[in-house]
Amino acid sequence: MQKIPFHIISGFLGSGKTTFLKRIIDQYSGEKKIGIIQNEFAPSNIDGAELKKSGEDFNLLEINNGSVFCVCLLGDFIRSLEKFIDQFQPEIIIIEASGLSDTTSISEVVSASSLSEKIYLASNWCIVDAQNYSKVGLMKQRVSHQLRMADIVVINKTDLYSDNLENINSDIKKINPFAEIKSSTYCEIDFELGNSAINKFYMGEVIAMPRPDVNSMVIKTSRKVSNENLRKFLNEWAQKAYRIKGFVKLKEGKTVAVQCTFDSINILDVENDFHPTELAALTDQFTLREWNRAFKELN
Amino acid sequence: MKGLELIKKAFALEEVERVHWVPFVGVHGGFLTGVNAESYLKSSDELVKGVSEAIEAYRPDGVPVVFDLQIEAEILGCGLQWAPHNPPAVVSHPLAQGKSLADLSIPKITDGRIPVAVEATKTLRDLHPDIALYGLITGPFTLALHLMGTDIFMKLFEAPDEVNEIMEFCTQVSLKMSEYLLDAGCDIIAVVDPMTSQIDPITFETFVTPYVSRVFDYVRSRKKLSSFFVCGHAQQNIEAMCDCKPDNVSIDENIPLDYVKEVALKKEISFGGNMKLTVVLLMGDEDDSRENAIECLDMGGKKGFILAPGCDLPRETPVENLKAVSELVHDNYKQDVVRALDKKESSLEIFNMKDYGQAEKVIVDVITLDSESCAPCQYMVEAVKKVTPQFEGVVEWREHAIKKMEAVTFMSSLMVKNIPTICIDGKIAFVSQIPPKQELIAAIQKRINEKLKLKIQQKKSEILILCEEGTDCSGINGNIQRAITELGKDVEVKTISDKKEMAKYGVASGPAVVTVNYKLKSEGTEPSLDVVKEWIKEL
Repeated sequence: MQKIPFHIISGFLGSGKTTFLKRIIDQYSGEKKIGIIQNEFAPSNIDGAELKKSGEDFNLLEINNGSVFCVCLLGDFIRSLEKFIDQFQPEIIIIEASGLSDTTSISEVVSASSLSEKIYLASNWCIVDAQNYSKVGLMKQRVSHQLRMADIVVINKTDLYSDNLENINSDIKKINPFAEIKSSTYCEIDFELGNSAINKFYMGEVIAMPRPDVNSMVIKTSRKVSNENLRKFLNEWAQKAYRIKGFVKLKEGKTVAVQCTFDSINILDVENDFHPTELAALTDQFTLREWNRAFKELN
Repeated sequence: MKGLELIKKAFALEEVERVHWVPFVGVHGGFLTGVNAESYLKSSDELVKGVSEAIEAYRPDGVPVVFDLQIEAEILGCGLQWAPHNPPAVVSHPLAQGKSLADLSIPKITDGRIPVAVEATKTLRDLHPDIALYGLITGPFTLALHLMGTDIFMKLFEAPDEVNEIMEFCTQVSLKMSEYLLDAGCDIIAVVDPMTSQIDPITFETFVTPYVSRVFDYVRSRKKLSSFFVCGHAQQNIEAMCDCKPDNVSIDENIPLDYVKEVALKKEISFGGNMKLTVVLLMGDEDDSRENAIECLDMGGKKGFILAPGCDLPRETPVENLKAVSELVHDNYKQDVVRALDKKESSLEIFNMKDYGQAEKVIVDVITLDSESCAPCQYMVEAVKKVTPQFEGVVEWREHAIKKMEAVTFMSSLMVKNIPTICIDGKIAFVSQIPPKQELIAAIQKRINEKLKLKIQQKKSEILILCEEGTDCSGINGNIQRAITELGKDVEVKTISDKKEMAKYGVASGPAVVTVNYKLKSEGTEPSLDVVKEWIKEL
């Protein structure tokens, strides 16, 4: 069985996640079996009801249990999700993660548990409400950890925003220099069903070849590595992966953002932030254990 | 020294011999006794049973009595949704649904599930006078979020006065809860305020510090200890948290432990954490747990550090994983072993040891950490050293100290998992315990006997008579045959007459006699380098 792509859509309450989800459902529910997970923190699933109204065909898993906010609750999340997959066998899974969820922990757990044999992390979206983002600077704390691990950041509701979007853009780039930034109104953006790095890799193949199983994985650690060792590490592993991305704390005291596709390695300094090293990979050639071990040995 | 005393030492930033360990057993206690989360959190009897079970299994220095951040919220009118595996979740927020602060009153000691927590604390206090009991209360900010829902985040900016009013109320609730739990016998009040991870330091200092500090002041005035628990991405607030003057801060895996250590010690506050809850403790195995524990222990150091999971243990956390951590905490040698193995494990080439121990002599291998620094290792080595001379050269012993790479390979190749271990001819004979002299002698003797038997079974001998054609060798032949008959030995006699063949034995003409011993050394396998060396030494 091919692994199911798992997509994360995170963002602030009211940023437009549910609108985006509705769009995806409208667009794809005829061709794919879609599984939706919602973990709205409160007050019990307004959005779930909202989605159901759209009338399209999809399966919904509602996690009301406190949210996927604390690592101590993720065990239950794994259990529920496994049951959901077995029951409905969706071909694509999308989680709408509330503003409080820790998307890195979700990725980590999805990639390390028994779930990793069934699904892989295909993409990580973060939706930002243009107006709110710039209005309440202090709120950034809450989205910064979702922003930094996102592949695609959507600046939404730009019609309501009169200032220069460039400010928000550059602000996001400061947090996550490799994110692809799109701006939209009403979340009118294209959504890719699989992972774009893999799709690009296989582009041009006329016959759909059976692809090897894709593994997604996350390393999260307090260990610091030297700049030189990090480069060596990436040189070795990037060529075995569709993509490696994340943030690494260096022994030299800096923090760098990293993005590698199988043929290129990019490392950029970012502002020193309050986060541990977090690296994610998508590959069909190695396991989390091997990768983790190699990273540990850098010290 | 008893757990409570030890915890006090750690809180006082005294250098300690052994790091203290506080497994945050919440609904996991119910897992130990076989009850679901709801039954567990609603019954003081079940709490007592579960926590006692955890104390027995994990030998902690301290434990929380009840880990449930919804007790206060439930009393104040939040709707709860119960689940079998987790603490309940708050699903409705009175202040977001028409109620006002005036409708709420400070919980009385008889309200809701407070009696459950109080009763459990009293009983556990009597049963376990030496263990530090943590009384957990919901932090004011998290309680405010329970009451208001996520509206609170917008109101921080749009209606700060309203938030302040609510924070004031929540603080009074926290103070009252602390009082109830301290009166019941808790040693430490842990203010659990995970939602503060969602705000930045300025907001924290404005809306959290003035309130939560009062709770810590109160605990101090009662001459008891306090801890400030957060989970999630709260690294930005660690300094502000310390400035609230708790005695301890405790964090989860989202915050680097070395960072917290640096900040906390600078502020002269003890700190704790941050074993990985899900990926390691819940989903990993004992080795993963040990490895993660060592990482925390080494990072935390022996001053002011308390080893703990990042947060409430998932209910189904495997008991073996926590036991493995507990063993490690209580045994410095085990820690060294994990450290030694951890460093070297990866580049290991495993020997094929199938044939090990086939040499003439019996080989006794003692696998140690290092007999000079590890006492049990030293005793084991001495036991072996004392016994081997009795076998007069038949038995050879060696120490393999796994501080050296080769020894780690050797150990892994023999599938030895514990230190120290005695192997006799490559077979694990004694693990961890030092064998009494007679037992050790008996084990070695048994192996000698086995070998003797094998030796007899596997040996073949020949006598070659080197005798050129035309030479009369009948005399020699006759004597050999007779000797064989008289000795009753099974020896084959061959005559070689080809000159070239004879030359191979260094014989030019003859007659000459050569005796040959064959011994089957291995069959169907490729003997390892080490083993071949052993054979060669015998020649």
